[in-house]
Amino acid sequence: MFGLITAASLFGLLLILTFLRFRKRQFSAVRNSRSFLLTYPSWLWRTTADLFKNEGRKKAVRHFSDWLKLSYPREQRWIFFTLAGSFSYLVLSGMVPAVGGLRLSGIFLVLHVFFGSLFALSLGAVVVLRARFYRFDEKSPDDKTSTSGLRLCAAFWIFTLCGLTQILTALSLMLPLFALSVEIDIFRAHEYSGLVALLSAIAFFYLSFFEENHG
Amino acid sequence: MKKKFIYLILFFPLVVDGSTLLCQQKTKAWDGSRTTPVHLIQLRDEFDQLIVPTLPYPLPYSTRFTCAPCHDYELINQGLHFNASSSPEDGRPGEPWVWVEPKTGTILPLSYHNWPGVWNPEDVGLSPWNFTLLFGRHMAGGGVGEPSEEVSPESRWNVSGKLEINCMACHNASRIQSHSEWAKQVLRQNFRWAATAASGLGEVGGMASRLPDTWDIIDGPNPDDTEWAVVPYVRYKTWHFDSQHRVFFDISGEPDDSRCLTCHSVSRAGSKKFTAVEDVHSAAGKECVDCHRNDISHNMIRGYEAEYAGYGREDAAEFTCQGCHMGRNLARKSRSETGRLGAPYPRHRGIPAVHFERLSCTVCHAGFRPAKSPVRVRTSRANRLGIYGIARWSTEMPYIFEPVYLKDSSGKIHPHRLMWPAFWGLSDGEKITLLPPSDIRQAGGDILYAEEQVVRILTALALYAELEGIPVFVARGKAYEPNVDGRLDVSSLVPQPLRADTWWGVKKEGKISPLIPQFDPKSEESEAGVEEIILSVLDALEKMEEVPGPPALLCRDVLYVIKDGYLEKKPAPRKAKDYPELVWVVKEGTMPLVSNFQVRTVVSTVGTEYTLTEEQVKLILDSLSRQKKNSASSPSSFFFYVSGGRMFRLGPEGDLISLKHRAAGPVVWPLAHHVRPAQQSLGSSGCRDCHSANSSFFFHKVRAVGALKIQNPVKISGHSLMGLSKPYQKLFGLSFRLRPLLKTALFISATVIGTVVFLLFLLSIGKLSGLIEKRR
Repeated sequence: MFGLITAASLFGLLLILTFLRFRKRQFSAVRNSRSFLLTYPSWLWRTTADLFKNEGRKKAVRHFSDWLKLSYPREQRWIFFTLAGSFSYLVLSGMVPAVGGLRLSGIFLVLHVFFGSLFALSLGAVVVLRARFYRFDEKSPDDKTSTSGLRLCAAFWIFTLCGLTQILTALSLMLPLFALSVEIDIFRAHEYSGLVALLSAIAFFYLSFFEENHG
Repeated sequence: MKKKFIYLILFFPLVVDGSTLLCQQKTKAWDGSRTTPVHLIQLRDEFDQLIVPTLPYPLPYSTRFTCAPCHDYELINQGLHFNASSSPEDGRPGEPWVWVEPKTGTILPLSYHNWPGVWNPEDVGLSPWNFTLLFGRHMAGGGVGEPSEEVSPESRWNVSGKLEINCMACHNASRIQSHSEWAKQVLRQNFRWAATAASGLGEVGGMASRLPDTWDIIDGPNPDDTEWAVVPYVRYKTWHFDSQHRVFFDISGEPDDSRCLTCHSVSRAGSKKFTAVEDVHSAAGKECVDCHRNDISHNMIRGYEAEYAGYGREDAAEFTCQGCHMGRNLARKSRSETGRLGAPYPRHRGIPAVHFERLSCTVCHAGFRPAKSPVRVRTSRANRLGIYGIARWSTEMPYIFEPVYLKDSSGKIHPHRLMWPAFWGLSDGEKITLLPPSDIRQAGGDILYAEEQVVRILTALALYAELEGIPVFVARGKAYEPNVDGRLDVSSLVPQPLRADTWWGVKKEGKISPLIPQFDPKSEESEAGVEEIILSVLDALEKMEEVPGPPALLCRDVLYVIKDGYLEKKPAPRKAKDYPELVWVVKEGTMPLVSNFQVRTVVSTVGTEYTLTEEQVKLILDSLSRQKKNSASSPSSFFFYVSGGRMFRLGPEGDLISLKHRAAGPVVWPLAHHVRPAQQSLGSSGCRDCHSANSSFFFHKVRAVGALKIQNPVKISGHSLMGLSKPYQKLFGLSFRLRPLLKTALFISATVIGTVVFLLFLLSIGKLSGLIEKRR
């Protein structure tokens, strides 16, 4: 079930994000809705293929580099990398077995617990350092960044909330507080909050690179 | 012959009558009453004849005919306790029967069920007759003890009678029911009398084992022999009978725990009775039959999870641990879904759900807690417990250990008991043929009887030498004296009054002095008193049978022998030692009373858990191989002995080599009892009960033990039995040292993020309510 929901939600999110971008870029060029819908798949294919071309890759790296420079001062970048790295491992080690209906075990579980702590610490640092840039009602104090978009803010805070849920559920599973039946529910919450965190992270980066900065 | 004929005439119509009655049996449906009917019934013998206790030579009662009018005997005979040899379903492995023969070092797990590691009795040539003789002591009768037909040459069913189901062994509520009496009668081959004797309805005398093979029950008693080959008889206690010859059976429909424990006790070896651990369910007042239920089919619920899932026994589902404590809903949400009798619902706080997928309930809750090495236990059936009498019935072998943890076929880990088999056999390619102990005794001859040789000499000295103390044999600084069981007891190091490695002594008031004190044969002064002792000792040894030659004493250059009842001095045939040495005079000269091989064997085995040495094994394998050369067996085949987890065979040079072999592996069966309460379960003190770098659960060591004393017994670690990786479990265990740090990190992070989120929330509320003004 979890695997199905994961696959469907990932697919759905990517579809929505790309479609929004497509609509924004192509709306003026395509007049009727039928041809608009017919043009979307070819546009998606072309854009995706561009990403894998040398030029596309260079462009993506440049975008990312620009975003990083704008978002994090040099001395704080390691926090971002720790967050991104630990989150990537957590997603891979946690989601892949869960989607396959397997149980995380072995050395991957040990590392999952270790990276979970790194993730928690780095997320805490990021929230402290970056929360002010994602206020819903105001422009960022740093005018060089344009991260005040509603969607971007929403993605940031959803990710933060899900991260917090992840931390709390992990912590409660480590403590002898809850009965097995509750623990099973907590574990579910851990799984699904992880999924939502992943979706929000995808949305955040997509919006950061393609919509807000370089749309 | 005439008497036989009279009995036949008397019994024939009754036999016919009995068969008619059997046909009238029917299984009655339960009327709904939960009471047990009063069992005031007439006894019937194996010919379905009414037993009148006051008549001469009454026969023992037969459960087949006494209980049959109301209970379907044949149906019951298919029940769990009787159907091992006939049931098509093997079920989860249980405790095997263990054939222990210390002399040949045989510890052989047997079962009619097809369980891994155990041997079918037929593989080792055990007929139902022999099997019943060996294990009938702890059998409930019926089944293999009551074969419809058996023609093996050694069987004596016509003499002993069949070992019918002993209903009262379980269902007698009276404390007079005696398991010891049952075992005694079985060993005397008084099979048909055993149930009567055990129930206390009558006294049984005589021994069928002493009767000729041709004797039959219709022959009746032999008035000419009232001392040795006395025909078994029963003298009913007439006060049990009323005027209609009815007897009140104090029946318990649901047997008392003590009845079950007769055959199912398990206790830590060497522990005291008052320290014995009790199952938490028993302590709470539940009885064995509360869970292990059955209907008239006696197809008892064993209570393991696969019994329901694997064998489709719907009725068994609610009598598992989970069935009682959780119902069928692992993640119970409402109070209404309680298990049987509202058993406490285990909350398992803080235990990750993966544990319930990979471990059975019993891993954490049953048996002894895991230790660095498993605990040695003794079980009723394997170690012959619960049979009381003058003789000591219980045995140390087989050595059974618990708990060890292994995965079952579904991959779930269960706690098990473990034993190491030891047996002799012939290997021919993949085929292994077991050799029964009788073959080994024959091949081994004197090689197996070193201890007995010393005992024989000491017994002769004790009986005939008129010593002022107990004769002892001293070897390598230890003293050996005979005990009442015909074995040797060993005591710790003693001072060495003689420079000899081995000598014979007398133990008086705790002190051991040489049997024959050191003397100078040439000295006239000391010789008189010494000669008297020498004469007495040699005289005692001369009375022994089957000795290599006449006894003599060798001292320096003099040989003392007895001639015509007098001591005679002769020149020594070889240069003797300074101290007096007892010898046998043989053709080649002299030889010590006990050979060096026998000394080595006695020193290595007496007082230890071992009964064989590698030297003995080599000699026996030699002997077997010599016999093989004379037979037409395959040249690639070889004889072997298995013990201590290894297989021993002769190498190309004739030396003894050991190798690992699947047949030498341990035999295991799951355990489920001695359930510990939650507070004493694994994990009750936290994760580190199991998850640590030196966890007893994962890293306990099981050392192979057997009858053979070996230098390098096999050792198995807990993780390998479970099929788990040692480095990973070490690492995972170590990671729990960091857990507090990780928890702290999570807690700090959660607090920081939570605070920020909370601030944002307050800020939003504040702005919505207008308490905080928006910045321009």
